[in-house]
Amino acid sequence: MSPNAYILLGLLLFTIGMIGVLFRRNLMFILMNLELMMNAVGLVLVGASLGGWIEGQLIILMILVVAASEVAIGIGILINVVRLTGRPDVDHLPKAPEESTP
Amino acid sequence: MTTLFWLFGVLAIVGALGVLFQTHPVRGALFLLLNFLAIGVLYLLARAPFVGFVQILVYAGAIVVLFLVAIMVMDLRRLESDFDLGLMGFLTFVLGVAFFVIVALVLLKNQIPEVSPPPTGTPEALGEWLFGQYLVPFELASILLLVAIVGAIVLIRRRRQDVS
Repeated sequence: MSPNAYILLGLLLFTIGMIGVLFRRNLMFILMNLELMMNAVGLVLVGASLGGWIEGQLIILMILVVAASEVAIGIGILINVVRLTGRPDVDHLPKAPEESTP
Repeated sequence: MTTLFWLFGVLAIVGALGVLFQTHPVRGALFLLLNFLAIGVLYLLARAPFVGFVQILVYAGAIVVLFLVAIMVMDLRRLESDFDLGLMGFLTFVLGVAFFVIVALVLLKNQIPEVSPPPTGTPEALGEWLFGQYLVPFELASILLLVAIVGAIVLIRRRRQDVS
């Protein structure tokens, strides 16, 4: 396949993920759509590797590290939101409480 | 080759649309798994065997399982108003379609020619790059993972007055 087909498919998946991040209210699904966007960038880089730039595949490995870190931190934030409000809704986040001295 | 590319490309798009429109968290995670597996096969078709297998191991094996464990631990249910069905939701779709059309037009104007034969990303080739010219980013990636571990522990930890 030509590099252009890979890059166009990556662009389409990135757009779907971007619409999902803006369209959903459930924090769980926002994290999933962020993962979709990172994978789409991987497809674009594989297209670049077919065009002769093999370092693109190294950058996919770096994106993998970033994605793993991001999902760990994101699920930590999600657990805190569910603990505070009882549901993972980003439109009903509580205001930051004033720091109370123990 | 071309048939396989379109087959798994369509599967990846179906998985992405499932994540976009599904409201049940477990079904959403399984659509995400379909997308990851299809993209792994696309990597294999693009002469990137090492990245393809690492994709299946880490994304499909670890990240989807992490999502499923989070769903199981927190007993997440579907939200009643999950979609942003207002003016903002409509504008989101307009923005997405406009972004896609503009970038696609730029890409179609500037086609990238395929080199022949295209380079193959074997573990040996990638390892030589990774431990040679790209050694510093590789070490920085390990520091990033360490920071993520510490950050996740600090985020999850309950404060003492919350427990009692």
